[in-house]
Amino acid sequence: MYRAVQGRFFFKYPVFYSYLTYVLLSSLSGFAIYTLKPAFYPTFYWSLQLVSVTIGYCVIWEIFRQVFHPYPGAARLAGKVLAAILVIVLCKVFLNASLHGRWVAPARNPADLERYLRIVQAALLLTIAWFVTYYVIPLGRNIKGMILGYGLFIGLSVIQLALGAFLGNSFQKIWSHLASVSYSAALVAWCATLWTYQPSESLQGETAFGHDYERLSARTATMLAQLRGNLLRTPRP
Amino acid sequence: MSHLLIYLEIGGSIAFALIWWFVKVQAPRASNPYAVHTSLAEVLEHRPYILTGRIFADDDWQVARASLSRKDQKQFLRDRTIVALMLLDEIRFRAGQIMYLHRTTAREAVELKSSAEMKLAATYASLLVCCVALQIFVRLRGPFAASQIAARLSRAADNLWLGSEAFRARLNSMVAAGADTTNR
Repeated sequence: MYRAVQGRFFFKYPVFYSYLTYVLLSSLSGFAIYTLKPAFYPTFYWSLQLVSVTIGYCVIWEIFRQVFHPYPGAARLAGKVLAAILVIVLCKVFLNASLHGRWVAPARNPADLERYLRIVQAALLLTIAWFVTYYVIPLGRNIKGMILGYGLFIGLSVIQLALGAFLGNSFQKIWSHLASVSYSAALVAWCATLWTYQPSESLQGETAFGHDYERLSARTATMLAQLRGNLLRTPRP
Repeated sequence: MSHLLIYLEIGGSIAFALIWWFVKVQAPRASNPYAVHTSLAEVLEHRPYILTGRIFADDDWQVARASLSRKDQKQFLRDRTIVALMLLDEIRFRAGQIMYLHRTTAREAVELKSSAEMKLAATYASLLVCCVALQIFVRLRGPFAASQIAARLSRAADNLWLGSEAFRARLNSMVAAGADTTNR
């Protein structure tokens, strides 16, 4: 955060740095609560975690915006797939709620809820990464690092939350250490990749077809069909 | 305990997949093999391979079997296998180039259609599968026996394609009928 302020790119990624600011402030206030009113700490911790997950979704939205901004075609398709993932998740939540009558609390406890929400975040992040690879979208070091750091944090959080939920009290002693491991891994990735401002470069694609998508896709389909036809039709015995 | 293992696996896979992605995803210009030809026109110039049929054709093998010695027949088969594998590699590479250039152009098109993209991706994937299957078969049984599996693959791919087209058409008509009823 210090480097971002110094390099004047704090406001290039406003949501991401707001998230980091939130994590810093919530950790400090959490420490104060833990010292002064330990009994109140669990409720306080899980409330902060749910807010953190919500801001995490905004971070994913910012990553999506930054990655696909110069590529409206890829953005359109990726947006549809991400929306479909969210709709499927919502359908499942409503189905579960109506089957088990749990409209007020969609999960058994806050840890379960956070784990489910983190898995959905991971699905969204992996989908973005897949579209980046498929459409050969050039990414700057900053965005790549954001995806890696947040992905690592999510992956390790899922492991930590699962261990906490299934092993119960015996796991409480190492819980706090694991939590710092997942966040430290993310911080290391972010520090290394966001040390200086390195935005994504926008490459212009082929211009032979301009932006005539219909003509382009028809031509690609014809070329592929010719290759396939040649490969398979001619060798019939 | 099985649920715990599933979640541990999910968490580990997420972290591992993103580390792998971070290491593998490179600047497209520098490392992508399909980016060798930067001009679309250059790729479109390449004509389809009329040679493919010849490589797998049984006639040549019949002539070789009738006129060559046993040793030369073996040499002929070896050479033909190498050429067939190279040709299949080339077709895969050419298909990769076509798709690479399509994707790098289409990503900027506002009017991009998801159905067209999925259709192209499926065609490309089926072409790759056919190429790999043929390569395996050529390695195992030689180029002339591969002509039979190619014919079967062709029929299977055609049937699959016709089936999916029919399903799509039925789906479209159902959607259209639904919209019609709603409008009334």
